[in-house]
Amino acid sequence: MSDGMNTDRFLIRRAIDGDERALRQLWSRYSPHIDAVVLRLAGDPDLAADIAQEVWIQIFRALPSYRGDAQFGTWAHRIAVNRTLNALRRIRRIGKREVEIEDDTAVVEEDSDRAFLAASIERAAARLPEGARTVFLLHDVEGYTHEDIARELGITTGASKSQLFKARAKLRRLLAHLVDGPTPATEQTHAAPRS
Amino acid sequence: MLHLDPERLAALADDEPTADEATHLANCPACARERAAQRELLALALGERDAVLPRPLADWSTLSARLAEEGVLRRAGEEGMGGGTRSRFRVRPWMRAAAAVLLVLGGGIIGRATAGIPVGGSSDVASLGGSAVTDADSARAFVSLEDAVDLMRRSERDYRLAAAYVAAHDSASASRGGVDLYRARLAALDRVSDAALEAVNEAPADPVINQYLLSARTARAVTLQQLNNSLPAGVSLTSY
Repeated sequence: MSDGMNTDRFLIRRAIDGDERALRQLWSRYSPHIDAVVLRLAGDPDLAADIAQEVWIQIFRALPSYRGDAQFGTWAHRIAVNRTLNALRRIRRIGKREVEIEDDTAVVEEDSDRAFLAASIERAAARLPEGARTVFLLHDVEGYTHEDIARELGITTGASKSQLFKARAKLRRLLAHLVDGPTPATEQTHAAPRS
Repeated sequence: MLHLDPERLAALADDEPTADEATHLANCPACARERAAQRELLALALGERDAVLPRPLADWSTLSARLAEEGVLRRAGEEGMGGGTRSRFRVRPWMRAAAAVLLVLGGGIIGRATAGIPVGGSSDVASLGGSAVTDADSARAFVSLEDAVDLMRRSERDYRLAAAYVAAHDSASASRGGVDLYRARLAALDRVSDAALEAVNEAPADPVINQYLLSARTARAVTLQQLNNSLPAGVSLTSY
């Protein structure tokens, strides 16, 4: 077991007992990563700040149930994702995301796409419809499987895949400047030789 | 030439193409570039997983206030989620038994220093009678484990006798600070005991850590007795 894990175990024991210094040390150590997850999923910094506070309260409240099977960071990360999704679901009713994705093409126009050429992948992802963005972040960034995502979001694995591919295709357009190759041609005819 | 659908190309970032798709990709530079670009984007996305924020989203003062409200953070005198230090780390019967054994095995050495008694010093101790530990004893080569254990037993017994003697006769400390001095020492020893008890909980079989706990507790008992001695006649503390 690494020194870091031993330190975590010690801090966790103290934190469970309500020791402020231990709580603060855990927060200081993991908030850069946990808060980044929250911000990534929430998109909006103000909203993320509110959610982050709830996330940390939830993490600390759940500490007595932490069994040490996974690293603390991994365990806390999972809570952060779940809690953030719950908050977003409550706030934005993201259960309607499948409908939103169908309206995607009407939301972002080609001209506004160009305005994002200088943006990072995270900022570009923020321009995706919420459902597609959530699936993209969970799958391609957080490493969730489609089965995990389906369970987490209450959708089918097929819907998860569909939204992911839509999201990737859109990001490809938004981030054409970041990767080699021509911007996907709009005049080309697409077919699918998939057999 | 017909090209692969953009969403299919997106799927192929981490999916294997069918035979027909593979043939197409091999013969269509545009689609091959698009697939490569999708893979590059996927790599960028994976890199985001390790992203960190330079500053937390929330500030600790706000968060700690909420944690205190929730009963997660324990302010002074409160109990945490685990029921507070004392209850969470209360001594279990087996720990008491282990502690007793370790006490017999010589928990007093460190306690001597804690109580201000010269370690290995024998003048006061010797005056109490019994076979006190001497420097010569400490330095000698033990011939067996039993020999060493026997010395530790005697050392521990001597320590307790010495501690009781100090508690009964140490008027110098009382005159220097009296009740306040003993109260401050008790409070400090409580903190030491708590920390040592937590360490024992972590490593119950570690004799060195147990010695710290036992020494702190012995010193506390001595100090409590000293405090009692310094109180007005007729006033006595049974706990502190």
